[in-house]
Amino acid sequence: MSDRASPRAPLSLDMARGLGACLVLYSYVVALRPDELGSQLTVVGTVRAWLNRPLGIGEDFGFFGLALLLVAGGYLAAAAAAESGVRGVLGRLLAVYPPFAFAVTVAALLSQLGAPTLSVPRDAEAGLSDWLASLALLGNVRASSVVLLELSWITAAEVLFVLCTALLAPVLRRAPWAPVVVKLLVVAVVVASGTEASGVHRGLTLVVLYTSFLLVGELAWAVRAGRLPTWAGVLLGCSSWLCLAWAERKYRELFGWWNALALFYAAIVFVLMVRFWGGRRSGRATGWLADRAYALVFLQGTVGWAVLDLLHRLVPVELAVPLALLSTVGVAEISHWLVERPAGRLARRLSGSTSGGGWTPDDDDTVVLRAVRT
Amino acid sequence: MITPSPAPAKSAYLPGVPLLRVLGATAVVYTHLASWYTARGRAWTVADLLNVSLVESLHLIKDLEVVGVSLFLLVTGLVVTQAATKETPGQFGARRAVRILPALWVAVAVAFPLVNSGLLRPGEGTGPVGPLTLLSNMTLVEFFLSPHVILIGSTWTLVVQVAFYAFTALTIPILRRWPWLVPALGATVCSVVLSLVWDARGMAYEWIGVIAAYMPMIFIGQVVALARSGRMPTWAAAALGTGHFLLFVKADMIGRYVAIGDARPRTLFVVVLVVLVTMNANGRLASHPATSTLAARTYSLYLVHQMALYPVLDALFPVWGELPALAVGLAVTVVATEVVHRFVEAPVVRRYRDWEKRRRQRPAPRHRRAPESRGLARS
Repeated sequence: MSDRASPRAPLSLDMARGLGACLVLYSYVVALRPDELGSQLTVVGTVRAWLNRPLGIGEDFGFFGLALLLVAGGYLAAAAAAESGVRGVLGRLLAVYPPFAFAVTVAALLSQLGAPTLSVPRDAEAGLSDWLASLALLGNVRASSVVLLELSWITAAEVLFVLCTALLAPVLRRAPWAPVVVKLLVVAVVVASGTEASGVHRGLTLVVLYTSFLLVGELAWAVRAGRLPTWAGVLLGCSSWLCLAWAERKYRELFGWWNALALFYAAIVFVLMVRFWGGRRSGRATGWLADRAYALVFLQGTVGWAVLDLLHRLVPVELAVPLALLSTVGVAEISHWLVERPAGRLARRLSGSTSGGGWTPDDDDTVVLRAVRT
Repeated sequence: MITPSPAPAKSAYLPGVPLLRVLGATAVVYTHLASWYTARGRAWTVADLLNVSLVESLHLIKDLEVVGVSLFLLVTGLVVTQAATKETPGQFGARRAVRILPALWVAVAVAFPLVNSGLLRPGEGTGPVGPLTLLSNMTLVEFFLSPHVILIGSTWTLVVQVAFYAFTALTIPILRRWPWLVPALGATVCSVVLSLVWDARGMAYEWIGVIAAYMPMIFIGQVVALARSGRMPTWAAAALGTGHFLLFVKADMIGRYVAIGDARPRTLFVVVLVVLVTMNANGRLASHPATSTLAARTYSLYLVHQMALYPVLDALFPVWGELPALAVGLAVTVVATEVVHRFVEAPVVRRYRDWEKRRRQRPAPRHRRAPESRGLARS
């Protein structure tokens, strides 16, 4: 194996993000919402009996999909930090936040029209202040009672992780292990001290806890790029996982969701993808899917659910579900062209280079390759 | 269509296999040690710690039950498939028999007086036992009899392994020409057998069901080996591996053959992931001489650890306390393992290989020429 000599991993990253997005779509649009509407698809029952229950992957693979997306996000953020420092890693924000903001806006518009969305509380009627609070991710730290996108916690975790990575980026070249150790310590201390916390403190603690998913991705990158010996990567990875496993026993919000098992699966599956497909280039289909991963994840609970709710009264659920998926893909395509691509160009301009710096949907290869060369 | 692939396209060498063997052996010894504590109503800090941190978070079975067995069966599939592609059916069967039987005979012969003297509790049933039971334990036939007394509990996996060896020996010609067909046939056979015996009564049917339930684990190892060596496309390996996993899930649903806990399929999946990550490991730990030394002794350890540990712990724990008893028990296990490996397992295999070599080097006997028939044949 020439993993170390050829550390590019575009196919593995695209596969992880694409698979993550597909699993989230399956979970919320194909399995959970039809269940809530009282019309379960036969295939969902079969998959639950033969795969979900035996494997212990709950929420119809949804959380596992999100875990994959976060692990891949940690890998990309670390690669960007190594390639072009603070500016490069901040470019990741322009990859994560714009599709989220677009989906929040769509959710706010749909809620004005009375369409049901995947929000907290469910089917919340949102006003201007709720829209702004959701954009500012205030609901995720419990500073607002309405969260227009239930899955916005992944944005909160990723934004926080990117900011920490940017803060520690100057240390990365001198001591490659330091940023990971510092972040791990922060996660451990915050999580250990937040068991009895409430309100904003508790919300923030949970967001910090979810950055451990991204930390696993960063470790995968550090080992692959030769910045960290394998034994250290395994040790620190196990420590990150133990933080979540411990929190699962102490935080009532996490109890019974089997998140630690999902992170374990996501970490191993991601490492296997990087190991076996690390040297291969992504195909058109996987690249296309990966580029729209965030948009698909955020829009399924707005567009997908709204279309499903509208159609399930008119047509059989076997037809309503594919139409809801198609609508989600269609709006994700709009999000990609109107929001994500311009944001990618802006990221490049901000980083002051034409080839890299900020992440764009099209230049993962460059980022990862250049990150390892430095 | 999957095309025939007569020769391996890539190197079939898996540097992480010795490490996997050591991990499997460690897991088995740990599980049986924890079982001893549970059976005697004692608490073990190590097991408590691991159960709280690892087992409960991954939702596996208490005391990492089945982790070691799953690892051993998967590694069997990995290793035996590589060997089968280079050997004739007869050679394959003889080599496997030489590898497992002599050490089994010696271990069972040692367990016999231990059970009859009450120093060791049998794996299943109650002692004392007669010479016929000894003989049927040595041949593994005892598992199919009712009532039965199994002298060494852990030998049940050998029943599954021997069945897999027999299947592999029979299918070697197919394995060379159409590698994908062998695990596909295996899935069909296991599925048909499970359908036939799931509600049949009798110990023989019970164990035929156990074989059909656990063989998929070995077949998963086989498809990994075939994909790794380039003899099967990855997608085909993924499809066949999934099929075998679902067969194991089905056996778990039947509940009769895989009855410990509710997490066996999950344990198998976790172990498959560990195998996939570790099989190519070639770092310091994987290539350390100590790892290969330990790996070579895993079969002997598998056979002797219970009969070495349990009597020592039973005798010394109440008198000397936990740590000295554990230290002596583990030391006796190490010595017993070394004795069986050095004086039984390794010499028998070595002598058989020497005999094979001499046989190959012996000049072929000259056949009397039969000009007429040769001429006829040519014409």
